[in-house]
Amino acid sequence: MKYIYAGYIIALAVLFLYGVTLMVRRARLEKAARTLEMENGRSVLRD
Amino acid sequence: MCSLESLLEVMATIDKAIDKRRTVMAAEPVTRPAPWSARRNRWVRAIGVAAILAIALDVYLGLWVTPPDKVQGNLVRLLYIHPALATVALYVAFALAALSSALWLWRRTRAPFFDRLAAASVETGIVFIALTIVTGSLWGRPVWGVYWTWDATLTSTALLLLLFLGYVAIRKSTADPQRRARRSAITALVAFMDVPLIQFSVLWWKTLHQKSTVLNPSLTPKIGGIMGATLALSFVAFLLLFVWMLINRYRIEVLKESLEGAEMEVAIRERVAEAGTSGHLELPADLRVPVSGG
Repeated sequence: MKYIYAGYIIALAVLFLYGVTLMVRRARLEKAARTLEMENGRSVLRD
Repeated sequence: MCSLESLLEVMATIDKAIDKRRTVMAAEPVTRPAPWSARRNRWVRAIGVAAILAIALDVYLGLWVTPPDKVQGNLVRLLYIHPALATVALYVAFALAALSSALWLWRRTRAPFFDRLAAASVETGIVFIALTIVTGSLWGRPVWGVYWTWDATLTSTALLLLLFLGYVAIRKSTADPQRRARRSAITALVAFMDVPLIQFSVLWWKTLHQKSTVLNPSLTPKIGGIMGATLALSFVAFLLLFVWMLINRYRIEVLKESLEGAEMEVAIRERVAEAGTSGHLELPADLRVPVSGG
């Protein structure tokens, strides 16, 4: 069973860390975009 | 020099317009940058919450509710994460990347959206396929006695991971967006050709990897009851998680490209402004062309 638990723990931990990394990266970039938006006076987004 | 003066006049006009806009914006509350509306953000958050709940239920059922298998015993419990990770990686993430890349390469549908979607899909797919290999190895150790063997399925899966890691490296190899998109798109299509090899390797060659439990050639699922239901739930759960991760990764790609462009504009404007105060534009030493006398 130790292999099973290890598999679940590793999978869930990696997915959790990746999810958190995405959220943190997005928050930082959005903050930078908002700062540039204030400096330039217009939206910087191009979607 | 005349063209430089008129350029400086244009820049001064733009600066006045920016100052005016800044005054207006200072009076407005700071809002989340468009085009992601509050409604859309709520949907994304809902998908994330649904994914977490579905995965939690899958883990609970997989580890503590479903019975052990007649043949594999408790080792069957890894079935409730490993195939779902593999399916999402191969047939959702990388397939989406290949489709987006093809749509980008075709001139009639070429749009930055497809390039960004492919990049986001590949990066998320890499996480899923890497976990597929890890969970598969952990299953293989007690069953086969080894963490790894060079059979067709495992080798082609490892090759797929390397090919898409190459995709990520190629994206970083050039700053030119068009060139980056073209090279990445071609790489994604070439790499995706490994996916049918992985799918059919269990049928074409003698491999240690077990054959499909659900999508076998006779189309008779070899699993049912609570085990079948938990397996189905695992596919839904990891698919929801992938969708949430894809959306966030896509937004990161949009933000990165937009900020690169905006920072470039600011840098150019500052350089031109510098040139205005010094009276002439000075090229860096390595770009200056020597002027011959006479």
